[in-house]
Amino acid sequence: MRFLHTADWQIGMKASGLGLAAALVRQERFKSARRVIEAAQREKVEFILIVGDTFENNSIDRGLVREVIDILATAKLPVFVLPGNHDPFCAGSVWEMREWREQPDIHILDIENIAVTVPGATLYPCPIRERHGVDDKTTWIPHTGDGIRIGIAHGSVEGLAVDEFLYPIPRDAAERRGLDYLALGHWHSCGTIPLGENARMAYSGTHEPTGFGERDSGKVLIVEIECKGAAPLIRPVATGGLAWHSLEKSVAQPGDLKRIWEEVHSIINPGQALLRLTLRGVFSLEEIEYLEKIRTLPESGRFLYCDIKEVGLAPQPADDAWLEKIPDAAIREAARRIAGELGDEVVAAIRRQALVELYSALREVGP
Amino acid sequence: MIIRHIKVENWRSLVNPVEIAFNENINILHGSNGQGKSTLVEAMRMAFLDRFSLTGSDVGKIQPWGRELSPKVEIEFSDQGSTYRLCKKFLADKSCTVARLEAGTWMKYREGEAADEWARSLFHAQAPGKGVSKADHWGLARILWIPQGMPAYGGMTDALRTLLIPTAGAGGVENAPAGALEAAIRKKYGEYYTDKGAVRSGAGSLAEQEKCLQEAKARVDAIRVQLDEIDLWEKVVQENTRAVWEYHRQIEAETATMQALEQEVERFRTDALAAEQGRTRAEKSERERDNLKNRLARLDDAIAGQSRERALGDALTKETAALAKKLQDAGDVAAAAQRQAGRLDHDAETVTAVKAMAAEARTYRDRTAELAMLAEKKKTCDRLAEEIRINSAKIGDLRAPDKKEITALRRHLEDQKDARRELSALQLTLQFTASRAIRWKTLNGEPAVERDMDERETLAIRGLGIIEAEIEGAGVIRVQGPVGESADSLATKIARASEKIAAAVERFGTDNPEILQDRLGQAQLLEKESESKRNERDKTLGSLDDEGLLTAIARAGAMIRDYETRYPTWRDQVPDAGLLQKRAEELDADYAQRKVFVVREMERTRVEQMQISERLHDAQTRHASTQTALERYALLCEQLRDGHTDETLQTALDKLNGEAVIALREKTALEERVKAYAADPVAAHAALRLKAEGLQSLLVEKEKQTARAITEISVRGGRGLYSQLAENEEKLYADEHVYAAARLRAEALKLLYDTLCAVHAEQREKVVSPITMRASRLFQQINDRRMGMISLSENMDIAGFMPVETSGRMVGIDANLSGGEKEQLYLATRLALAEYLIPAGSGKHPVVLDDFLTATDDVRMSRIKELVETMTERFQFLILTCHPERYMGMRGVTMAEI
Repeated sequence: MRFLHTADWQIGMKASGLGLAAALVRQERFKSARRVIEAAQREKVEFILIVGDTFENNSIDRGLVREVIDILATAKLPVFVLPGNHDPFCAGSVWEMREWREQPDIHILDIENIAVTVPGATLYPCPIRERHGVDDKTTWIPHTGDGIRIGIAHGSVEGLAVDEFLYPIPRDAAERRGLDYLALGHWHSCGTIPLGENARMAYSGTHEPTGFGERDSGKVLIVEIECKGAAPLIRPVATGGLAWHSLEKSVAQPGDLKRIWEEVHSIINPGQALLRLTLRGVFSLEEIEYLEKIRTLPESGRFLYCDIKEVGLAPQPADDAWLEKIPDAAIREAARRIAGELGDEVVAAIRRQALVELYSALREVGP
Repeated sequence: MIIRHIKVENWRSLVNPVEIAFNENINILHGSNGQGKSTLVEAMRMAFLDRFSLTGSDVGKIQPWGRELSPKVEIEFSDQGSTYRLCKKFLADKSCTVARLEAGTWMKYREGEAADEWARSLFHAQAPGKGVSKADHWGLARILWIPQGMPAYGGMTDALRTLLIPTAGAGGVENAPAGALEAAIRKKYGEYYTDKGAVRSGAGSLAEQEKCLQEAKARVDAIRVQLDEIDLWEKVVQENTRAVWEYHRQIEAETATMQALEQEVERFRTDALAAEQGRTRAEKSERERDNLKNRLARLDDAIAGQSRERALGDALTKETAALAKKLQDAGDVAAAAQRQAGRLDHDAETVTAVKAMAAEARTYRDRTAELAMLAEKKKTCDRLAEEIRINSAKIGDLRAPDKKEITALRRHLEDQKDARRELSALQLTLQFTASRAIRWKTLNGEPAVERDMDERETLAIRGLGIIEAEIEGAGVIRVQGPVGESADSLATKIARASEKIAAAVERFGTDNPEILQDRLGQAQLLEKESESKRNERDKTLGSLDDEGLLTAIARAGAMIRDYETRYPTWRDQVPDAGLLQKRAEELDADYAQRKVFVVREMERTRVEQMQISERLHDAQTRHASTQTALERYALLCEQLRDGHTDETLQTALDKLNGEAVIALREKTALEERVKAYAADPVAAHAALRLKAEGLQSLLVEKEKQTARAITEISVRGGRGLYSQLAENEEKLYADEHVYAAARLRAEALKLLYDTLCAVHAEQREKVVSPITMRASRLFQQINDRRMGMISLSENMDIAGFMPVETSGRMVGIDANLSGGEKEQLYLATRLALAEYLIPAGSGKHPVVLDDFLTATDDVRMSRIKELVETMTERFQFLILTCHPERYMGMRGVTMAEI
């Protein structure tokens, strides 16, 4: 038996902090969804499991739901969709839409404590009906049953560091319930539990990365189970479209800013990349040209999204030589005063910026 | 620079060449108004500061009126050890040359625009754009030269400030690169702030961005509120779903309990019904027995009542007879009292008659006395009236004038006398003795003759005021008396006064005012005496007048005659009113005593009669009532027996007693059976049903709430609120990011700009402070120390000064300063600025005062002159004035007249 395990599509999610790129990021999740269907067809799976959080929220635009339904309908395969904590099956939820029932191949696993039979296997869905909960939804799964037994649950495996810990699932839930495989959703990274071979529990992670700092996301799992009791063969397949680069750089030496600029420029396929660059330390004003180049990156359009953060970045304290280039007049005295005392971080940031503006003006005017 | 010589021609009113040589200290150029002093200053200024190639109406004006001549100015001056000659022509022959004296020969030094520019540089002046230069272009001359009527200099220009700062030793240097850099910073600053430091508004500004952010936040918050509402509705659904399930479970449990109770309830109802019926029967039996018992008791009561009423009726018959007898006796006593009262009425009339007579006797005596008193008064009044009449006759005989008339007479006499005296003064006499034979003609005077006079003949001519005569061949003689009123006028005055005096004599028999004054005194004495008598008569009459007195006498006499008619004996002997009064009082006291007794007796008998009558009536009423009661009792006994005898009634009572005992026993047994049930199963069943119904209604209510909540969630969920939130939050974040960057830049530029301004302010203060001190000292030198410190504004214009008495409060230049004070304030400040603008040791520079200090008083003028003298080491003074005397006494002065 071969099936595709995916979860946490988070369709309609917020991409706060990405500004105008957010819409593109959201759109990319549909593209990835189509890549998931393509992967299923390519891998010739028998059915698809979507283990919760297909949607970011039950109050998303209904047009987005219809688009998902249209994509799933193109699979021409049985698709089993489990409500998760972001899109629980409850009054007014996305699952009440009439369009779901018009698709014969799409099955919403919304009924608790009822197993679903598929050829050669029995599915044990654990749907979520409330946004928050602390009960183990897998407890109802009987210890015995016909064929290959596959559990489908959305929640936090105990001991796993996830941002939102809810609907706990024991680390040995598959053994306890006598399951051949327990398909998990909620964690956005891809991974088996335990790590390594012979694992019977796995998170597929999100099919498309949702933010900076996510590890092993942008994948689906192709699961093969030869027969009841056999160890599942779990194979990740990449479906993500966007690359999220989060760079933390310290500047200390002359030439650092140039190197950082070059590194940033070396990022491949920048049009599909999101970059968050954090700069710290002190820089030489001789390198202000590179700093200004880096600063203009967000507006340059090179990257799908670019954010430059300067955390305490300041001209080198000893690098006051440029002040001597300022005409010996009131303006030089003003510059000395501003450079002389930086104060707390907020004031220091203003003073640093003031010096940079002065430096820029000096360069504009010329010596 | 020292101006040595100037020559001007073809310049406004100065058509012919005007040449003036100056010394290097103080030069006073004086001349009347319109002689060309200011024209000279204008030529000097245009020579140094204006382009020779000027065209247009401005320069056209300096041509002599109606002449096509080229205005020309030539100035010799020394500067930095060299002597130059600047020659400038305007309009048709326009040219500019500068020559330098080298080894006694004038050598061309500059020409054309180069010469123009070089001349301007001596004053650090700027070339004007078009037309004649304005004060802003004048450089040092802006401060050092005071044009006529322009004491204010309007602050410093940027060009002058660059001279001032190094001169004042302030440290920083204003130079061109710094200016460009500052301009660049100002430009950046201007992207966010106005010149006054306000944050710019409008599209794309920080304020606009902040406003947009606030609106975006408000939109996000509004969506969040709606999403929170969905959460709340979802909670309602979840809680209600749990509650509905719990209600269902409880209703099922209650329903099972109710079914178990229903059989016991049926048995209980049967037993309860039987017990109720037994109770009804027992009660009916008891009721019938009690009714009969009650009937028998009422019969006994009626029989007893009959006996009681009968005895009462007998007693009342006796009482009625006794009371009728008593009432008769009381009537007799009352009749006797009534008769006594009739006699008392006659006595009362007698008392009244005696009292009236006594009162009238008193009145008769009073009227008699009053008539005597009135007769006496009339006699006194008649005497006094006669005496007054006699006095009036005496006054008439005296023919005395009043005081005003005497004064008028005196004035007429005086006028007559004055007029006569003046007329007498006008009487002239001309006596003429001819020394040879002549022909005489009197032109004015008496005798009016025209005749020949022989040698030695004398002729006297009289005239009033004037005598005029002609001596043929010799001339006219004219003699003039005192000049004044004419003789005719005086004669008229005398005649008018004489008329008035004659009228007085006719009225009073004399024109002697002293006699008339004596008569007036006598008349006044008599009048005073008459007045005294009139007062005495008025006092005697009192409130009456003559007629009232006569009326009172007549009224008193009539009343006395009336009494004497009614009581004829009183005419001979006046009655004793006291005796009559005493008799009346005795009769009255006796009458009152008897009246009290009779009234009391009548009241007592009336009350007694009434009481007896009431008691009689009461006894009669009660007697009638006992008769009625007897009849009623008889009817009741008949009704209660209802045709039965006493025995049959007693037998029926015994039978009913037996039936009641049996019914009571049956009732008790049935009630015991009902009490045997542990609780009331009907009530318990009803309570269970009530509870089940309550749960059902709660359940229905919860289901309604749930349905509504689901509707709300569906409606809100369908709006795609979360997607809206996502889009709005993302845009907000992006905008915040942009805004934060812009704000940081704006604050940084503000810091840079403010710091720069602060440094400028400090540097300026370093310059301004010594100049302020120097200007203030000069001002105090001209005035006195109480004038305090001068305050200079940011551009070094005069803001005002702080007199000592205002304790540091500044008096503005436009406040109530006199013209003189303003002049002195500007002179002091201009000289102080000049000292700092021109470095010491760089030579003198000319200071031009054109018709200045016109409002300054002499004391302060002398101080200014001293001050000017002390400053000749630094400056050459060219003073143009139309009051040269004001500058007298100065040392080292060259005076020149235009």
